[in-house]
Amino acid sequence: MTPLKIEIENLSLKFADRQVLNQINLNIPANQVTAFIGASGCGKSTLLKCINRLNDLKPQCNIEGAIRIDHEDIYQKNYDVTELRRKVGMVFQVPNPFPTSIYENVVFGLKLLGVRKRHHLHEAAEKSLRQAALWDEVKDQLNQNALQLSGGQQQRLVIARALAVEPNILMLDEPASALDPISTLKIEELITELKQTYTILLVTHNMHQAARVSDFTAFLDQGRIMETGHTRDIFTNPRHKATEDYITGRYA
Amino acid sequence: MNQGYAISPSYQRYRRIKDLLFRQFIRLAAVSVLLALVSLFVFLFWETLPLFRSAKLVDQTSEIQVQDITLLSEAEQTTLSPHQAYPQISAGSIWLHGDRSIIEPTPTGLIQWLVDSSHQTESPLILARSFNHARLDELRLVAIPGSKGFISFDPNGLITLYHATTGRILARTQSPINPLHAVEVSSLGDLLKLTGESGQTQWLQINAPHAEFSWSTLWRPWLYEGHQQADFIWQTTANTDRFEPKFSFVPLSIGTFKAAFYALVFAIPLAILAAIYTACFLPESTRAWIKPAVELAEAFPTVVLGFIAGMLLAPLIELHLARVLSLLMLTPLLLMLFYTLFHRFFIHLKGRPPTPSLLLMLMLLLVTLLISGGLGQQIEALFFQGDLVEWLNQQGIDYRQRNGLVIGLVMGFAIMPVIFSLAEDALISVPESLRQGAMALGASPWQAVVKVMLPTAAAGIFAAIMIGFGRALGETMILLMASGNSPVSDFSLFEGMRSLAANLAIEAPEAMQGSTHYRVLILSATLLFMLTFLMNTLAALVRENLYRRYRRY
Amino acid sequence: MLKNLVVKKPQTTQDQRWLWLSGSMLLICLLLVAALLFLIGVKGLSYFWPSDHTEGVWKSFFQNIGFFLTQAPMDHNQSGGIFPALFGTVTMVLLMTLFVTPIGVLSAVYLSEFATQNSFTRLLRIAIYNLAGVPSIVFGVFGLIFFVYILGGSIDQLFFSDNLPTPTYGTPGLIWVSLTLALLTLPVVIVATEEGLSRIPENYRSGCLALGATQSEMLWKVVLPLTTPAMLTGVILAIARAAGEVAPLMLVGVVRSAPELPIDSTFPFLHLDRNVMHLGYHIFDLGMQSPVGSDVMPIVFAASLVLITLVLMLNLTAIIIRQGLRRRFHQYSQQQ
Repeated sequence: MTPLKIEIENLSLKFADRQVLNQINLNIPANQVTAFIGASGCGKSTLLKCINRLNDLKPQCNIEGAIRIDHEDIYQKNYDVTELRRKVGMVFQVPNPFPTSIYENVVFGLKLLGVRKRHHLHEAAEKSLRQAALWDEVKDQLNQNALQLSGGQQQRLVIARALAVEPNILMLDEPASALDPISTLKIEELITELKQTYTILLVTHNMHQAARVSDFTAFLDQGRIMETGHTRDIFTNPRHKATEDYITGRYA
Repeated sequence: MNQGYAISPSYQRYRRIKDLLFRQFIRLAAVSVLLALVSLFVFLFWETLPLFRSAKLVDQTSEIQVQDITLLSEAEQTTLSPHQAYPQISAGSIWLHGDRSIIEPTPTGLIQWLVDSSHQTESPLILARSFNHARLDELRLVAIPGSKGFISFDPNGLITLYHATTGRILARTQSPINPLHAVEVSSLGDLLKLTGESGQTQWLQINAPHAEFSWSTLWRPWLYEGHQQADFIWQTTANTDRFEPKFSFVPLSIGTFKAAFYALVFAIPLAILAAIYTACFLPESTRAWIKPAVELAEAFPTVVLGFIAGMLLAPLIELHLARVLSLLMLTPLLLMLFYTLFHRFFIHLKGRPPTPSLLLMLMLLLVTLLISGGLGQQIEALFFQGDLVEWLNQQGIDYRQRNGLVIGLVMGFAIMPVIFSLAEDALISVPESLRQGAMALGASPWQAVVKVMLPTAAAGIFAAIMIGFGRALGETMILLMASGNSPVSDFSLFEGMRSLAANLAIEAPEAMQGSTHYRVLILSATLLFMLTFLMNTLAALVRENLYRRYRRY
Repeated sequence: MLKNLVVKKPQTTQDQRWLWLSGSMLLICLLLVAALLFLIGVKGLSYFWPSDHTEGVWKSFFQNIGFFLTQAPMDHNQSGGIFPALFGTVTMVLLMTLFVTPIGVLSAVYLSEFATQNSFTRLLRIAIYNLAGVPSIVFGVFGLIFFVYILGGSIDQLFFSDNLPTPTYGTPGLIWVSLTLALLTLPVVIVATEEGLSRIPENYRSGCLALGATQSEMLWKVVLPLTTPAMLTGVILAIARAAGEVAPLMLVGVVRSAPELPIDSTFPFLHLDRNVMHLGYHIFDLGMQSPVGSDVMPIVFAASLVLITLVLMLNLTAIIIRQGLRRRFHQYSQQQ
């Protein structure tokens, strides 16, 4: 069995009076791709945002329970949230490069961390752009505005930006939902590539994508974990009726 | 991970501390700015509070440099007692400061008579008001120099301070010395010297800084010296020191509301109909430039508008009153009439109704304007002997050159873009689906607008009107330059007015700091502030509700 | 039978009539704006047009404009130029910008980024927005009693007690004009900045935070640079409003004719306590307070033309910046 990376214990989350996550218990193994599936609004994205504590700033947000990364509780007092967010990279549904140059986007996180030396920045930029399989496409136009890239390129740029600060967990929130099939394929290849080095969490609406790239799958329904397990088990032999309905597209 | 560089923990700590400091700084600075803003208006209100403080007669035990004070005894106050001038007045009566009114002790109470010197009527005295007093025998009265106050001393040693204009008893105190031999008052009216039978003296300080102010004089008709009947008067300065300041907010409020009302009468139909047309019937490309073009009117500095209103428009309107009035009143009717004719003609000619286009409308409008202007002149010649202003004067209607009509037109123009812009926003935010739904049910485009879009946007349009109204209430320069600034309580279209805002602009720079006049002006500013603020808040709440309701579409 | 089936629409003509009426109202609005612009433009420019039709008409026309803008007024303001008034307007407005920009931006950033969004902040926001609708003369009264009498009075007692009872700061002057204007335009800047901040897509913020940025780093590096055009719009609109405002200034330090400019070569160069001239007040004063019988109309129209050109140009700049801003984020909001 692979070692555990993230342990989620009795996690509940409320926005004002709305229970978004309800008693989530989940263990996520290291260096594997774990896919989260479920209908829109079932709390998948919110769960991801709990892991890098992006929900903290939301008003009237109430979180109970514990999340441990490498056996360390991230919701303990005086925990360094910025360091947590460096370790847990996140890529969003809509590509969100900053309206600056490609290069500036990639080194943004590093500059925040206080890396000033030019050659360090250059090395890191090249390395993460290569990792994100974007280097060959943009190496001659690093000073171009990032918003001029295509959607798929933008998304890979955002992945590169997240990789540049050397996280060990990478969370992808429906990374391909706004992209065309070819770009989607590239992103999927990339995910398979990256799981050697990173623990990857993937939220997706695309069942085939989940089946293709993930090792483990968690099915969420109305803020609860309905079923978890190896992807092939879930897809071939779901234990719950709801899971089966969702996977086969009969979900109402 | 093999990093080619080290992330130093101390730098990370520095980042955290910097973040904390920055956040606290912004929080502190912004909260203090917001607090300062709030305290500004608390302060404004605070400055009016001394007006409402009650007057006092204070025992002055400390040393007083007597040589600096000119004292007036009871006998020295006037050369001629009222009894000698008017035999019908009893002997114990006194003149108030300025010799324009008399206080007479009568068996039923103290009575203030006003001397009516302007008309030679049989009775030159007008009964103003009476003051109650428990004991009226052997009452001694002393007028206070420099104000309309006076003091009564009764044999029991009760000293009472009155103010004649407001008709109020300001303060009562028991005299430390009884019985009294002599009473003297300082020429500034702030000190009282009591001398007993045995020669002992006691000083009293008269502390009544805002005695001439009372809430009822602000809002009720009041009888002042030199007037025959009670009236609403705002008159704060004059060239004599015997002058009685008259603070009535009524003429100023009437002026303010009158100006705002006429401005709205002109602006509302114009702005709302224009907004309906822009939001509902113009293609997006035309709308994109028409809206800013109308909003351009908001950018005109009001001082320029005021100048044009006062110097150019007012004389012009006086000269062509009939033409202007007919342009204002006949144009909409004529437009409807001409359109109907044009419509019939067009159908007769082409077999279909004309498609509305701005160019066609412009032509029709120009024709209508020309005809209604000419018609006005004809009407004037036929019914008003060729000169409407002269005719109005014969009917007893006063015509001022700077009047409500001029103000209504120019201020209406000034607030038109505000109402237009906000009403247009409200209409355009009504979801297109509602309108299409109505049209799908067979409503004509105009019906869809009137039956569906207008009711939905009604709250927003109402808010737009409120904001326009608030703007009109506070507008200063146009009123200052084109309203004539005479504080009359009159709603006539052809009379001038003075608004609260213009009054502040005129009088605030010359009001003496700390005087009653100064504080009354601040009070009027506070009222103006609260009025507009309430109106805007109401409008903002209405608007916010409206937009929240339609956000989901 | 068939005749009855033909649907007659008696309401159509009437509907059309209303439609045409509302269209005409729109045209009247536009005509009024155009007529006013035309009136001021023609009357203003004709003041500069040389009376004798010699050869260098255009040259002397522009010379006249130059003369008008750069010379001091003469003959009780009734002839000559408007330089001190123009200079005073610009000085006080720039000084105001120095006060209002940091304060307004700071408050806006606090309101939309730091304050907990509850019903109290909602009310506070409405209150601030409504300050923009409070009559400017109220701000003038406030400026007079608080800035001039109380603040200025205390400064005099603390630092200039030698000169008393002649007031130094306890009398209307440049600094109080600028502060009053800053107060007056604060809501404009706050509203514009807040609007700009709310236009920044949530994506940028979460993307930045997810990279490990602190909240202040997010603001400094991503959000505020993107909000700059909105802030600029706000400041320009504030300047435009301040440049056209007259009523409150009459109370706090604008005069008919100032002997000296507020900036000169003697120490401390910028004289905050001096009275200044102001273009709008110049127009008011010339138009309303000139002796009876003097024909001041042409010069007032010329001054009005200058003021309106100034204000309209500022407004146009703001509109252009704002349009650019909308277009910039338009693409982004469509993706979402």
